[in-house]
Amino acid sequence: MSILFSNAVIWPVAALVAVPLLLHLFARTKPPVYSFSSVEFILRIIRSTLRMKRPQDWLLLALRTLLFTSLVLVFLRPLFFSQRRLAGMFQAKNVVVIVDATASMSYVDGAQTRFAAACAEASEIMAGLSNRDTANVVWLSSAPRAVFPEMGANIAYLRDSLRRASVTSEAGNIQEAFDLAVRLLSEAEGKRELCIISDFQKTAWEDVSLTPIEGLDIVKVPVGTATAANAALTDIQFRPARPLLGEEVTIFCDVHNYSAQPCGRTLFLEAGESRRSQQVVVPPWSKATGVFRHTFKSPGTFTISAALDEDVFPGDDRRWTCVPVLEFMRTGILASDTQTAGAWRRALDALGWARTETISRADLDGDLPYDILMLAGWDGASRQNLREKLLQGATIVCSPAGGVSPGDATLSRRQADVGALLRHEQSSEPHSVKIVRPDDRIFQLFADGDFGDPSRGLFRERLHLARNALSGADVLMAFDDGVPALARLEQNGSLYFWNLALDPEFSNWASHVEFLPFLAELLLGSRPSANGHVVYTEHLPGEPVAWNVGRTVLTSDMQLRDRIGQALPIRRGGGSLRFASSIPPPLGSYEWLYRGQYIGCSVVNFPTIESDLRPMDREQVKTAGSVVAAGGSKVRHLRDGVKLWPYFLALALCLGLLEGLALIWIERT
Amino acid sequence: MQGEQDWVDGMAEFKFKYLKPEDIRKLATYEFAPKAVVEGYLSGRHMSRSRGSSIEFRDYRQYVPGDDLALVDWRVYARTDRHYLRTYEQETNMDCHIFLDSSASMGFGDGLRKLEYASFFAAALCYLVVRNTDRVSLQIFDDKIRHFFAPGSTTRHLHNLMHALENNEAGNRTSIAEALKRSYPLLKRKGSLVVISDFFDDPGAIFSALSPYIHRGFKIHLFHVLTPEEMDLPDRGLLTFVDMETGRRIVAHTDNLRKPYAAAIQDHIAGLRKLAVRRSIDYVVTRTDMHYFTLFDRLTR
Repeated sequence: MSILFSNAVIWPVAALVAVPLLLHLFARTKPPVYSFSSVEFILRIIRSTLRMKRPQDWLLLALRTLLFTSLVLVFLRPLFFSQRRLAGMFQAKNVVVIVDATASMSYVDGAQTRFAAACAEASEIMAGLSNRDTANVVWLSSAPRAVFPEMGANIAYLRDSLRRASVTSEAGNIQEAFDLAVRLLSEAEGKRELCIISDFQKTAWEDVSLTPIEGLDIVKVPVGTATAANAALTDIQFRPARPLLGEEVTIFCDVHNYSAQPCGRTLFLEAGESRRSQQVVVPPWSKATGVFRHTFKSPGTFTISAALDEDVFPGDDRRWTCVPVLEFMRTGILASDTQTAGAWRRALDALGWARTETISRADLDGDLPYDILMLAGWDGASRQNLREKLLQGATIVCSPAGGVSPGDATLSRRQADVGALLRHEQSSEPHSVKIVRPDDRIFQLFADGDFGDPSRGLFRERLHLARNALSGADVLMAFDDGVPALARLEQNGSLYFWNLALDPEFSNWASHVEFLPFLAELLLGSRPSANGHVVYTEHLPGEPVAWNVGRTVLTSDMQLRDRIGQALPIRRGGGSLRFASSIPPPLGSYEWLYRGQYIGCSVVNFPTIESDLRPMDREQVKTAGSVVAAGGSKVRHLRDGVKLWPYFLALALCLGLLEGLALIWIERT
Repeated sequence: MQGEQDWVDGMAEFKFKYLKPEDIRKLATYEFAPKAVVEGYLSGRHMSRSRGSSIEFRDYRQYVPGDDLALVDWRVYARTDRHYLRTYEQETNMDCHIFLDSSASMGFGDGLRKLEYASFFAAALCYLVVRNTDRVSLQIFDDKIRHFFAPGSTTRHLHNLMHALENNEAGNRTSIAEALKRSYPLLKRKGSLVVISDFFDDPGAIFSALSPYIHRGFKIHLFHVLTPEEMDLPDRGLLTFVDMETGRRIVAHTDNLRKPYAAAIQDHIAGLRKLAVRRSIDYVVTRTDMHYFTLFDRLTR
């Protein structure tokens, strides 16, 4: 804390402070002499009033001394500095202001948004700069950018930019903005200062640690209040992930309440032509889920949107997603084991929603555009490609041939264990199977017994393997001696290890009526969330929506449209097979068209990190080497000092008034 | 009457500071006759407790052998068949004792100083007394008796008094009580006692000192002389008040003093008046901006 006198040359004038004291003293000792007949009465009066007069005199003396002191200080023009060094204050200043333009800044605090307040504070900071100072503004968004490529002296342009700026719906990349600001300041000569104006949203800032830079003053200017209540639609999901035509789809909409009071909101769902709503009551600082059920009448990719009735922060009240509705599931069957493959095909052909295609061993190295792969008599070929499909979310039912290791059979990451290969074994006494995990989803249909017992069947042939050979897999069914009969390994997609013989010579299971619903349940319950083909992409605000077309196409053949059919400019991006919007589009859903045909959609949803509007505690905002200022004017005060002369002038006026009042009071008393 | 006029004219020829010819002419219409019984030995115009031959009836008394038969009231004898004598108040000359305060405080006064005012009054009073062939004494005092002039009624005596007044200057501190105590043995005959002072002294002590005079039957007149500035402090701002008697210096602002001072001086006057009334003493407050002739209203008939 320091005080500098701008007009120190008139320090000798400070001697005026002695004037009232001297006046007081002279007034007491040098009044004209008046010879009076007797001062006895005067003495008596003075004695009686001395107790009152002396404090009054001292009061007047104090007031007058303070009055003169204030007047002298007015002319000395003192500047008050707190928490700052005076060194370097006469150098040219280089100021970079990081203005938070993330979505949370659009919250209306009182009469204006946080962003408008931040721009006003930044403009206030700029207003305090002189002609020899340089400045720049860095917008904090998902891709931070500066107004000038380097430090500039055109302060007027910066202020105009601040006036014209608008807030984004993006989340902010704080570290990148900080690095950009530091880079801008690194080459500047003179005093360097970085001001960060933000709401310091807790969810965005609490994990950020800005490294103090030597010689760089960091000032943080919080805007916004701590009591920002908000309700947000934070997620929209549906089950199943790839519904079939006519299948009921359950849509889950998560509503968060970021306030200390419970809130009741109306949740709207728009799916195709259907529009429904329901009331959702969300406890304080908690989440509630609205559930809708919808059945799509035609196959295709449908954009569904959910929305809340609008509140003071409407940006996060709407979300979009795309539901790929399948007419059927493409099932590729490797028929190396013809008996098993035949049993599978017969069963699946009886189902309306499955379309089977026979694939060859060579096809396993290809694209495999199937929802489900059923490998009968797989010998371990194309293991890596199958593993990638599994990781992409595909469902694979694998009935390995003999000579394959259990590790290969489960597409594990490890190399095959040569010493423990699978081999077929036959027995004269048939083995029965039992359900090990009756609570698993594939057995739910059979829980009440209406659909029979899926474990009813006898097996004289099976792959021999140890009970614990399938490490990491859930054994769903096992033979009576404990050997796994059906196991599942989930790695994004689901892999079923099938050890259940379907050859009528060795098993009667396929002939039982329970086999068909069991197989259907197994495939429906484990249908892939993706089959490697993207049906829609989800993006964050601030980034361009993009689409991989998979083959070389002309840019003129590609089109991106928003929901109302308006085309958006696109460009090739990230390779000849990838297209992206020229500019980041606003929140919403968009369709990609190739030669007028729909090929996919992209959605841009509000970043959930921006929904919780609570700022950090003031103490948390402080980091090493930084100062927290209440506003732009405070920043100027920190940098240029607080001009105290108006306060001293006001003080002098008040003291003058007080002296007058004191005189009146003294005269009356 | 012609002789008296000649005497007046003769006095007017003298140039006294405190007794100017025009004042003498104005005083011609005044007559000093205090309403008090005196004990003179010359036949005069003042009432005396001694019964004698005068026209002022006093009482009847029974005839005793040796009495002058001419004094027998024959009308009373005719009604009562007893001899009664008519007795009359004996008229005699009067002593007037003037006490003039000449302390330093009497030197105060922006225009006419109190001592000058008092001297004018004393001179006129002396003149009136002597003109009536009464005797006048003058005592000039401050904290002690500085000059004492024994009672006299001659022109020469009057001239001495005038010269004494002219040569008098304000002196030391006031002590009226002390002066009265010291003067008491000097006054052989009772008469009128006129004290002219500013009475900046303890009232209790003053009246305590006056008590012997009261008991002896003196007719006491207290003339309290004050200047207008003493009655009402002038608004002169911050001043260093210097006490003319003690030299004590006090710095004070008249704004702060005027009201309480006026109240204090009025309290002092009221105290003196209260004590005077209680002892049947004539007490008069006068200001130096008032003409001293008005004071004779309290002394003359």
